[in-house]
Amino acid sequence: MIGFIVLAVVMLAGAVGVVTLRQPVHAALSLVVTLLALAVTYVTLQAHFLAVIQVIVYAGAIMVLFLFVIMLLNVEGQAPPPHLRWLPPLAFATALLVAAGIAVTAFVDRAPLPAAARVWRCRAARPSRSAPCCSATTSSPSSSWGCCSSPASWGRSAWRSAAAAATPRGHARKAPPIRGSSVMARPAMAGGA
Amino acid sequence: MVPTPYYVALSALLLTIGAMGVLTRRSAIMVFLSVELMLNAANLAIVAYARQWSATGVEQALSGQAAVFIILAIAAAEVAVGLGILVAIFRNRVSTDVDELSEVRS
Repeated sequence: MIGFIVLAVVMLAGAVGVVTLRQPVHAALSLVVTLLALAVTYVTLQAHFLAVIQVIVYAGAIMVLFLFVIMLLNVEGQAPPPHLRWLPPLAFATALLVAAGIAVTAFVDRAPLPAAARVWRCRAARPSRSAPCCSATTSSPSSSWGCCSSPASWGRSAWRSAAAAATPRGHARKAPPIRGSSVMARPAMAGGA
Repeated sequence: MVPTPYYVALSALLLTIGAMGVLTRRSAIMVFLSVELMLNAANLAIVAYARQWSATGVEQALSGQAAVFIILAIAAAEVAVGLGILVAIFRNRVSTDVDELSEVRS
């Protein structure tokens, strides 16, 4: 968690620098800082290949292209015209509002998983590839999800009972929405890092 | 393990900072830099959700990361085309101010 906070602070500082710095070269170098922090974040997200590609393609190729064009055009920073002084504070307030909305939605909203996603999750959770999944064996209501409820990654027991209640026979029935994101988010949040 | 909503919230912050840059900066290059910031914010959200999927299986995580890889490639192509257009505009009229680039409209 400490690492994530440090990375987030570096990333947001770089992003604010991109938006606020007057000189385009400074802004581009600030974007490089953001992209490198993003690459480290990819490593923490188990996406090592993407991290390498991020450094090579973004911080390497794209930013070199940007710097080349900036120095070719020889543009320098200019102050905003006086009749638009009110625009940056207004844009900042609006952006803050939108960011707060998205962030609150990310933490609060519990969107239902589609049926196909539930089947995927069940397939991935079965003990071996040859093991039957929920859609394969639907003999009785209790055993239809039985093969899926064994792994520890399954999360709370409420999910299990909801899943068993939702599919009386097989996966083809219309199921009420399952609280999918809470299943994945809550145990990890409780565990901490 | 940091939970997924934290990454999504960070991605939302990056996206809105980038949108703010698009709305407030006047030089076309700066607008372009802010667009790159927004693209990266979207990538971060996709990778975070891919890791959330990978709690149950590896193949879903790889499909999410493949989407990010395609977005990266398209962003690189887009930057090449966009900067080419920018240089052409600058050669015609010695300015990249987006407030003055309105002759298409009239």
